[in-house]
Amino acid sequence: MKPRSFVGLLVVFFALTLTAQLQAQKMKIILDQDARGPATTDMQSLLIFLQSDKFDVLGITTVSGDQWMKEETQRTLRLLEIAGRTDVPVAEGALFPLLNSKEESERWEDLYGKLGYKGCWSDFSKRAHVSEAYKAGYHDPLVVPALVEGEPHIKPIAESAAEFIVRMVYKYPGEVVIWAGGPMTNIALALRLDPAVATLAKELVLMGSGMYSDKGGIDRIDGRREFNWWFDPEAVRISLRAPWKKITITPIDISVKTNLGKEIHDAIAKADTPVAQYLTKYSEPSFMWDELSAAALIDPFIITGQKEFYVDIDIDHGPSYGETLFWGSEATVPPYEHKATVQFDVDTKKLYDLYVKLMTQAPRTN
Amino acid sequence: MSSALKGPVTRRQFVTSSTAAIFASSLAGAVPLSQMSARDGEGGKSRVIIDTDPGVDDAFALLLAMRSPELKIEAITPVAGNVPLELTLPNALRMVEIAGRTDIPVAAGAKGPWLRRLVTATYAHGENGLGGAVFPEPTTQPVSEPAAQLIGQIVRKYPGEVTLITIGPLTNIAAALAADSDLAGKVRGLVMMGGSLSGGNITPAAEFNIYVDPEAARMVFQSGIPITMVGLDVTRKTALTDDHVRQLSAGKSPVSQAAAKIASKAIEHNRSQGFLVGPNMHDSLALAAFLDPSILTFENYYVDVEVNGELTAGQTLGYSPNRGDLRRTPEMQAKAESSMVIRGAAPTLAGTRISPVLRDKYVPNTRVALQLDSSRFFNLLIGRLSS
Repeated sequence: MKPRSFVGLLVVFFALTLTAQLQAQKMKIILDQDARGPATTDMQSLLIFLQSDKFDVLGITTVSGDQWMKEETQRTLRLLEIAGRTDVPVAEGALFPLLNSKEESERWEDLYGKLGYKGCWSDFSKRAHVSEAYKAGYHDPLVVPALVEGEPHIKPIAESAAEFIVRMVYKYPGEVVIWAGGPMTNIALALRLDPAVATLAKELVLMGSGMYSDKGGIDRIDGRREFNWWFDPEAVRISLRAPWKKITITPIDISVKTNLGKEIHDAIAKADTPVAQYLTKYSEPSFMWDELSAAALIDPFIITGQKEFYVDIDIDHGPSYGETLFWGSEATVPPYEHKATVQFDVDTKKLYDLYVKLMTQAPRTN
Repeated sequence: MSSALKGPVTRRQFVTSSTAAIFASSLAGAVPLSQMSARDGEGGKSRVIIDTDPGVDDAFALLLAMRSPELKIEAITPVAGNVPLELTLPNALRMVEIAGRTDIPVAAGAKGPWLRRLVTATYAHGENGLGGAVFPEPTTQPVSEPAAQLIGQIVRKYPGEVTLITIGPLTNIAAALAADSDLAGKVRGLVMMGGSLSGGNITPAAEFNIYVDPEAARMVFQSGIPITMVGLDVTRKTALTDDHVRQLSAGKSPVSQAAAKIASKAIEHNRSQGFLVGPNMHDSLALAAFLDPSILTFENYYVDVEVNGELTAGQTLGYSPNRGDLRRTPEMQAKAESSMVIRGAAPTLAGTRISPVLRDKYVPNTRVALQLDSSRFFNLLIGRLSS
């Protein structure tokens, strides 16, 4: 054989095996999310995982936070139908955080001032929002309103979120990334069901906490009182002190450097797919919170600056209940504090391009 | 159990709807609530799950339970507490073997509290949890399900029938409740050894079981499950004596002999530490409260748990509009109930708010045992163990 065609054959051979290897190396991931819908950062981040070919989404586990869990579960099931991904199981998680409550948050407000955003404990009916997700007044935990995006026909699985998480990390030891886009109640429940979750999982990746930001916090300027973490501080304490191999955090600080605005909305509106139309109809301008965390898992170069910090949370039921605590990586801290990689700077062009590409993608045929 | 709840409920509403109805019937006096008695079960037997951290008094309580035909023990769920789970689990299995009741599933529970480092009580229970009394390694295996999961499965299988008898820290119970928001409404009741309205043991403020896991305790007291609290208020009066050991030694059964052995080692351990009274049988009293509530008197309280306090974490606080200096004439009692509020600590700054800092409406969630007839208790305990 001539040397050139031999080399050519070799190149083709290696390219093929590499592709096969890449296909086999999809990241196994569990998406734990307070899946408020329709659209919003919660559903938009789920869509990133579902549309990308980089992930083997083992399941979605729902938790109360932005909305109550029961409603979120229905909206997630509907999203899976719209995205053509009914192969992904949905497991229902915690309806209430461990200790915090609507009543406790109201006592806090009596003493320390009104909070700007309280997720499912909020009444949005008087706010000047345009999107469906933000129109509702307060409703009780078990109420599921009629879904504007359509009622789902599929159902969640019988297993609880925590049991599902435990089962998956044992099924694929060392491989499962646990991604938390909302309050960490399910993660804490899984850890208390079986502490081995932390060591069997590959990594904990989460959107939550805030360090230096002067906006984006739930009372506007206090960026250390971030919603996901404030909603269930005890769950964060349990999760952050568990011995994960790696913890990656997308805090408020980086999210408020993004803008999901008109340009992106219009670019997506051009596509005539169920996913693109869903977003066109229901999405509203916002920072990119959970989407950023998701996108960074596809293309790490979206993150242009990050730091190692020891990270924890204040769980004293006083004025700082739910606030982020953090120390520099050189600090001398007690042994139960763990380091996390905290993301601070973003290449917004890469992020927006990836987002639009995924959201306008042709529907899957399988 | 869940009486007519108007539509969907918040966790808070569980307290106001389901428990208010039950407690309304007992406001007049010390009538024992029928749901809280073993005598009220179907076909004479009451389904119970015993959550425990053996533990000298736990061991006695388990033996008493397994000698009580009116109980259908659905499971025993050990938890870390008096000693670590590595000891409470085999100790529970030992008791099950001694009583010849290996039909009862034993499910391993939590190795440590929800949010705190485990604090044990080997000063009271000895290094092995049984006062130093040595028994062979158990051969029985625990079931494969974790305790929290098994508790959930059993309660869901028999909604409204299962009473949880908790004689250790509440770590397992909180895990079962947190995992299933519907579970609390299906539990018949909870009888606990825990807490105190009259000062603690491990600290001046807190009783040991609540001290070990205050967050779990708060989750249980806020769950809406009707609770019978058998705390230090009454368990201080249950000291074991040499005479009890003699009675137990005279009994022929393996249970009686085992109880005598544990009791005598525990008393010896106590003496060697210089204590003036024998070890208290706290947990057996909680069992006895369920078997025969008439040996105790109870009062209704709203109980919550201090989770913050530098000095007081783990303290149980009992609010009642009709106790101590607040006592009123019978005509005024109902008015007092409806107007009482639960206050939190006063804010540190004199701000614009001048009204009290309200934590909650007053709705009793617990009946607290306040008086005990100890001779009747010991007749029951020693009688059943040595028969």
